[in-house]
Amino acid sequence: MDQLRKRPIVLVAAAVLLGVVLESYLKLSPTTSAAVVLFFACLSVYVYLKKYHHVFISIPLFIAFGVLYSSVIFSFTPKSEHVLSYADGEYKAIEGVVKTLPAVKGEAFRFIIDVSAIEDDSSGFKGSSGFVLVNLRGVRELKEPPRIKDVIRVYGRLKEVKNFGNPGEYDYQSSLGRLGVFASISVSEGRYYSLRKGSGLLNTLNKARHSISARIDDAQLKNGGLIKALLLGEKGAVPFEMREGFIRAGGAHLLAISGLHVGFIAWLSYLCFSWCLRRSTTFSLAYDVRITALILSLIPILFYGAIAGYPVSTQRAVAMVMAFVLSIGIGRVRDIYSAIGFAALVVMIVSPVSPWEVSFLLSFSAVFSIAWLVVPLKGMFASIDVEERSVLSKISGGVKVGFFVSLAATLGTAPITINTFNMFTPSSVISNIITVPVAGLLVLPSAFIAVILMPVSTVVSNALLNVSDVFASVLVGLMEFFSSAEYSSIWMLKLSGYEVVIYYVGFLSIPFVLKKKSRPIALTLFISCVVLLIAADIYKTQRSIPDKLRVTFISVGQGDAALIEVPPTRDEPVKRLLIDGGGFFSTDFDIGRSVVAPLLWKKGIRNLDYVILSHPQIDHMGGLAFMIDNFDPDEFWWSGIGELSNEMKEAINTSGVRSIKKGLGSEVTSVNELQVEYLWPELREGSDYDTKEVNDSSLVMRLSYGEKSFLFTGDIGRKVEAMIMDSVNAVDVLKVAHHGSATSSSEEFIRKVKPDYAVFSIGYANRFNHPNERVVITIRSGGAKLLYTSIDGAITFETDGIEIRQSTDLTNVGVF
Amino acid sequence: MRTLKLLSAIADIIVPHTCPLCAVVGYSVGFCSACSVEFTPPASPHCDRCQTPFTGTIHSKNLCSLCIKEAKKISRSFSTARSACVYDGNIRKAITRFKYHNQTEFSLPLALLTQSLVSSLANASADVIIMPVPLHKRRLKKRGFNQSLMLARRLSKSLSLSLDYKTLMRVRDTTPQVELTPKERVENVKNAFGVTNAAAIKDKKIIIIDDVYTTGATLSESAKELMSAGASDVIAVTVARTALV
Repeated sequence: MDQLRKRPIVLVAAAVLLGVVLESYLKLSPTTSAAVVLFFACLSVYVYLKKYHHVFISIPLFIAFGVLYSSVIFSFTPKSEHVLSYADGEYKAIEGVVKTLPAVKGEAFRFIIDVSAIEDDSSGFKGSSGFVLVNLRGVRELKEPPRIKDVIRVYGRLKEVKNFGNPGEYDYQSSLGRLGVFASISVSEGRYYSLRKGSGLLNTLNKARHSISARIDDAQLKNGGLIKALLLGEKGAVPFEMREGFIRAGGAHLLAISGLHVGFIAWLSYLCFSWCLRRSTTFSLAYDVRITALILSLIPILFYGAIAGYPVSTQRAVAMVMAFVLSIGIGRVRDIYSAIGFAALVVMIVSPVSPWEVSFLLSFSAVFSIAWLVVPLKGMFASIDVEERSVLSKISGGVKVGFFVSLAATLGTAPITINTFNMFTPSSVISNIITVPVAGLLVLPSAFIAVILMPVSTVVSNALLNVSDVFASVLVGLMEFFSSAEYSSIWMLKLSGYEVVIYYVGFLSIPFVLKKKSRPIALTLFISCVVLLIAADIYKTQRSIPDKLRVTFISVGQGDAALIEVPPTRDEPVKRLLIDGGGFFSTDFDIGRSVVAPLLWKKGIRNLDYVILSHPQIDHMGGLAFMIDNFDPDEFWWSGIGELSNEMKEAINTSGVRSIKKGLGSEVTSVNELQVEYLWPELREGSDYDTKEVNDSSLVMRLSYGEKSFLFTGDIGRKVEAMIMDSVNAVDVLKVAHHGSATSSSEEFIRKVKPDYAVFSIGYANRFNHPNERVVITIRSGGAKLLYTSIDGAITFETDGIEIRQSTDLTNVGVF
Repeated sequence: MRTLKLLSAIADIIVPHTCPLCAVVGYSVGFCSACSVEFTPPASPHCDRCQTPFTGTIHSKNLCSLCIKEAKKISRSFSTARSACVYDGNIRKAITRFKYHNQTEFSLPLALLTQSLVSSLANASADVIIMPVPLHKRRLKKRGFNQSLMLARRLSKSLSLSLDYKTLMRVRDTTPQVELTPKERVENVKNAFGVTNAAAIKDKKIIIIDDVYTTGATLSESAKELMSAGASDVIAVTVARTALV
């Protein structure tokens, strides 16, 4: 408390943060919050006049300020009809101003536009308002990519932004909603028109960013994407696999422009300015060279931050450098906690939604934990003396400090990485000692100097870029080494709020454990936190064991995925099956990694027993490779007809899963008390089967548990439905064939199957217009309850073999 | 003035006062009380001119043998030399970090430590000039700052005394005194200084500021230069003095 009182800025930042968070729940109007601020201001003045001087009396005022500020920023008065009311998934043309820096995401540019007009039908453009997220494909083909402040027109499918609707998934909808974005538009190549070029500083800096990016592309580097990410914060330019490798090796922070980058620029420009200023003796005597050089070096930093588009981590780093420059400028000692508080305040003023961003949490928890742990650790294990030291002892001291920094950052950010990536990366403690210097002292400097020399000489700058590329290859090699090492990263179940609190209590107690005086109490606290966390983890695993059969149709967009949890019997433990794993054509999004696995982890499931593929098409197979790789299944079942993807083949080979062909005529499999029957396809030797019709070779299975049964039809068409008509009878739950396509679900088949529940596994506003209206009518008229993953999210059935209960899991949708 | 006050209040919020030695955050400017209690005040009794401590019970109004021999070998051109404390323990740490580790945040606390001393020696006289011991151009270029000038500037500001860093120049780039024996030191700084503008110091009382007083050779040599250029009196003030010699 006393420490807080002496660092008022930390107190102010914490109060404003509290206010901003409160406002997201209270949703007060600007007028109401202004009244609240006024009230507390009067109160503070009154208390002050009463001669009661204490920093804490101003806290309510700052909390109220946080509420007011965020309510003002988010007050939105629509001038004309909101664009959301047109977002029906159909093709629309919209016009507007580019609001955010167009960032590369795989093969697309992604940015937000402030809409001014929309063409709904042939009647021409009408005025509209609101923000839309634009996904503009064809990064390479675009000669002149959009820039901030440009007025543009795009044509594509305008959709409402929606989550998949599964427990445990990333809440994409809320994160965009906080920015005021409720709709998105997907624009293919050639559907983008620049109406008017923007102007201003941001636009110019955006242009500079594009031309730097283009020059790096021209240099034809092996790791051009990585260099762009390190230099410009263009994370999306890094290939997906490489990015995953960086995450697994605990090096993802290198891909965000943060203290390392900003610090380097600051240092370099300080050296330059200081060298120049020292040339003049008169100046050196009359003014303070160091302070002048420091203040001057803020200019390049501010520009660099703007070129990088000021993501939260960059804002934080720049603000902290500013606080440090201020403290040196007025001849005071740098205080890291105050600098963190100042930076948090700046970041919140720039955008009050930042505290919800993962990068905010990661960035601030990392610097805070470094400040919290490194100083006491240094005091314990490394003597830092002010007297002169030898080079060797300086290096070994540096390595030690590097180890402490990296240990502190890993521990301090662990709950956030666990809850974001479901991952804990112990390897990052070691990997960062090596990779951070490689990135910060080799790759970055050469690339920076190359950029500075770009206007001067293409040859020299290209040569330097190539040098940087070689270093980047070393960095990639290191990351591959660390990410593939045993136990480099551990998949973790998400932590609940209580667990996070317990974790941080334990974490914060570490410095007190190191101090002799407070050791007994602190150690007791620390150990009890560790024990509680282990107990919570065991409890989560225990809780995941069902006492009834549970079938969950996972919402994977346009695709299929279903999880079956079979309760344990006296002799057999719980069994889990996964039928299909969804999947998209985009190589930039692994649905297994991002949706299916998080759902399982959320349920406390760490391994599968059987992974089943209905047929090898991307919307069924895409997410499975990850599941086979990471959930250690015993068996993989499929029909053997068609061609598995390379990822699947590799996953099957490396994981050692037993691949078993199943189909018509295969023996019924008993999984505990669940019976699995195979109705299709006809298994034939050799490859004379017509593989062109992969859909019709889908594995059709009936799962029976007591009196209740489920029919999984894959993507079969009417022809196959007719062929298996004799072997099917009424079921309780039908997974509607081929996402409700017109070519499946004949009236005869539906009449025969007579489901109580029919599940459509489809994507919201999908481009195939699934489900077909006729199919919906056919099934509904049969008396079934219709369920859609696109609307209901994950759909769960629970049965003891006699009764069946159905629930939907729309935990995230609609929550803002 | 108002704006300046407001700005400094804002600065106080963003950057709290922190003891540069032990990094404890507090309210007060300068060193924290825990660190300052370890500063040793100069021993008494001592030589009236150069503050060298006497071993016996000689009264402080007397001069030491070196100062008596002034006219002969070792010159003591300053009339008085005073230090705020003894160069040991914490103050040694502070000055080392200030001078050799570029931690300029020490300038304010060290100046504060010397402030009352300078103020009493200036004796409310308006004609007092504060002057740092100059660095040679080359050294200044290398280090980027002159620690004595930083102290002198702070002192002149807080005591409203005029500052002159132009008149006294180091004309010869000498070996740093720390590397030399007492005898070599005297030789080393001989004729190292020059006065550029004698008119500026004519009949003025000058207080020269430096960080450490060891043998007094540097200060004495600069005082000699100033006196011969016409200064009425030269007083040497340092933050600390070594217990050596």
